Amino acid sequence: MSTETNSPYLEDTQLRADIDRSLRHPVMFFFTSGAAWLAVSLVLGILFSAKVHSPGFLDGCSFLNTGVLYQAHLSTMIYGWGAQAAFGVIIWLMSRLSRQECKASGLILTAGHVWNACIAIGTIRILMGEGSGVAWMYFPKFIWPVLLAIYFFIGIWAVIAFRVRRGGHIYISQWYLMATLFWFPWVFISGHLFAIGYLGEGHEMMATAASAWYRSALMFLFFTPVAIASAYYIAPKVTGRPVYSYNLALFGFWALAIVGPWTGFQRLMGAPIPSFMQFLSAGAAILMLIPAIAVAINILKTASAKKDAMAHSPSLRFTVAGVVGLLVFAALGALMSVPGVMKYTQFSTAQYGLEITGLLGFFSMCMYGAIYFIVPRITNREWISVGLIRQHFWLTVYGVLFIAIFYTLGGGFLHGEILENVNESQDSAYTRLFPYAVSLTTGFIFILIATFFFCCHLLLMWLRLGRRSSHPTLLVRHAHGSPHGPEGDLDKLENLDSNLSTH
Amino acid sequence: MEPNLRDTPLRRFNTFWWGLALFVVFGIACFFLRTFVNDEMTDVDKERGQERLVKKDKVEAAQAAALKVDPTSVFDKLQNTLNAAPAASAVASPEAAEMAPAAEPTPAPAPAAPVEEAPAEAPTVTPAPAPVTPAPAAPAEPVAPTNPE
Amino acid sequence: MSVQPIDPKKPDLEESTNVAQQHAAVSRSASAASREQQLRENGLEPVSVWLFIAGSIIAIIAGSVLFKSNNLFGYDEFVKSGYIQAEGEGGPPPVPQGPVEQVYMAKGKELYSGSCAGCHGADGNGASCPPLAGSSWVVDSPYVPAFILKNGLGGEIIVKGKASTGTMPAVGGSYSDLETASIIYYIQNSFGNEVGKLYTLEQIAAINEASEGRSVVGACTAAELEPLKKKQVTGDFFAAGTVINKKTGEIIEAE
Repeated sequence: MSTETNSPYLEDTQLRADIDRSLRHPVMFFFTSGAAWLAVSLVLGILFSAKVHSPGFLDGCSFLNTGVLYQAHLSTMIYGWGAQAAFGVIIWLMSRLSRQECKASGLILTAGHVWNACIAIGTIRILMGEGSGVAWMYFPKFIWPVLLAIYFFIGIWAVIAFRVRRGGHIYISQWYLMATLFWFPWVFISGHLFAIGYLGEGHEMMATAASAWYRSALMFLFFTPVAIASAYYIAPKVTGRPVYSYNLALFGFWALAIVGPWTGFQRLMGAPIPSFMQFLSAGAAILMLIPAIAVAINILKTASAKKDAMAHSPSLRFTVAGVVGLLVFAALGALMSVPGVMKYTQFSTAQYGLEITGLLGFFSMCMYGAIYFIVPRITNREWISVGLIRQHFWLTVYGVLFIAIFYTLGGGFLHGEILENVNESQDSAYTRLFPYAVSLTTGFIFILIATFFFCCHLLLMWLRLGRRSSHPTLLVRHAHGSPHGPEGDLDKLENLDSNLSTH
Repeated sequence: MEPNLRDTPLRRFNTFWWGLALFVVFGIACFFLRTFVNDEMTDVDKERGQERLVKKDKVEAAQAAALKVDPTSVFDKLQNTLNAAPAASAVASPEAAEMAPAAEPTPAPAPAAPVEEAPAEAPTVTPAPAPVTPAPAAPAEPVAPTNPE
Repeated sequence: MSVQPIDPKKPDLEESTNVAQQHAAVSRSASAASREQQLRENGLEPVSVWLFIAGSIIAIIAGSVLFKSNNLFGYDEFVKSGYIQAEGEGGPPPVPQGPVEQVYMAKGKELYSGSCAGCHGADGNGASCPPLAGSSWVVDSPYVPAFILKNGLGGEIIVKGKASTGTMPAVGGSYSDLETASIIYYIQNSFGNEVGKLYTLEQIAAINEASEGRSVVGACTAAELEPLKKKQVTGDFFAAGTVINKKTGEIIEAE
């Protein structure tokens, strides 16, 4: 803007709008393609889950075996949806908090396209049966260095933005984001090097341990801090209240940093790896409840300081649901690390159910909250339909609750009990577990429908078909006057200029 | 807005290249790890395989030593024997010819021993139907009709 | 927002700024940004005592799990000697069982197709090896096939008027009595053979004993087996329909 105004508020607003506009293409691309991959992943998940309880379903198709379906489902969910949503949030949030316009948008957009191409190639190779078979690293080996290089070209701009930031205060979200930007490549390199790089050379136990560690570390040192950073931004921003306790936030961050990297080996309880690793991880997994509770208290108290904000704002509603999901995820993880409980859950469906609860119930909900906040800003349009947002929210909550309660807890413990019972016949086990296996399919179907609505909504916004309004799309209609003033169509505001008599 | 004193091109440049350097250092560390950390790893299969290979060499050497006669040098003699007993071989050879290709997959009956006996047997067994010798001699039979040409 | 031209009488406003125009421009391009709240992080609520208590309980539980392992690198605590998994309330699983002729036939067929069909043919007519169909060596006595299975066969043998020479390895050298009985029953009752005798495991055991007590070492020859064709087993055969355990061959009493 070439006009000089001495209104710092206007300047700041203009700066924020410029930042949003500069980031429109890469961030919108990440969110839209991420949501599309999420839908793909859920379809694959439904097919996989259907084959578990109805083994003859879609038989005869070699690229629809249960094994490759599971691998493709998890790969697309983690690297197609999870990583891209996280990247979009990281670059937008870091730019905004550092008050830096992004000058490398084109490069980030290109990197995003290459990332998508890699995920597509990797998924097709998996379905053709050429996956690596290592948990959460199912893509063929050649894909991983490419993904790492792409990450560099996405993450470095956020680091630069932080280093040249404007302003004296470093926001809580920025701690988490900076930490993530360095944790992610470390976890990625270490995990892949020791789990895949040494495969077939006689170090199988090391590969197994590294793979188990990678699964926990990716969850706690990449997905968790990004979601927490988004929550620490959305909650005070939407409510206008300060974060409940700064000291608690500080404590929570350091607790996550110290405890997080130690988890993972408890999945291998009883395996021929040194025994201290397993018990250390089990202890750390229980200790993870502490940062989870710290974050949850902070965010929930901040959000509840303004009573009606959660009822009105979709971003806040999703974020708070995500933080509750964090508590549930940490509690389930802690429960499933106690050796007495592990007797039942270690080899049961509870493990996969826990991963899904964490990915869909916690991380995805926080990401949805961030997306509902960010997209109107970068496209300068408001969400079209309140109904779609409501459906998205409630169907996802139903789906995640189904999976967490029936599949993870109920099915997991029953499965464990059946495995413990040495005389149980195959038929009896199948009959007893059947309803719980079906509950996974049901949960996924709910979430797929919700995601479908979300994808359609996001696509319309991407095509700039959103509402051109000066009012946000809230979940509740204000019966009388809105705090934002009378609602005006953006276009009509243009007429104001021509109505003014110029001096 | 007050100017952002932190935002200099130098700082941006520095940050970018330090970040890249960090990645490259990791890459170099990985490279060194992979090339220079060599654990001598072996597994049970390889060990047992070594033992088996030693045994196999011994067995083959013993068999070669026990083979007093080169199989190919016996074919002519066999052929002459069969030609000399036309009535017997007229009955025997259709069966023999039919059996001969199927004799190929016979699991390793020791081929050396019957061939060794063949020069000894051939004169005595001529009146009887020609013995159907297994694989190495069998190709001699289909060869027999064409050889006069 | 109201539309007002700049009033020159109000000196507070900087003259060149058209505030309304500015506001309109901002609202158009930055409507979402303009209604955002400011991000404040200066909450100074004290951390509640309950959080400390909860954290301590969690830390105690975590510590108890952490220090459950007594060795750093030991594996002993993962192996409980004498551990037997519990049986469920449903009781032991049903024992696989069936009538003896079906068990023999099924097991014999499985063994035959795995080890014998390659040489003797799937129809018993003997592709590269002597036929079993209608062969007197097979049907006359169980001693002959049992001896051949246990010891192998070498030299010339005349089967159904045709002589064949070759070596058969001792395919059934490690067969259990049940497997030997099954394969003998199968070859004696397939390919057109119809002997129909259901040998008990004791009879097979007696045959095996005789086989071990042979004076000759190595593969059998036709000359050795010729007199065995007339040797019959003693004792009772299985009654048709006797139910036996598919895995061990034991007779299961009908309840």
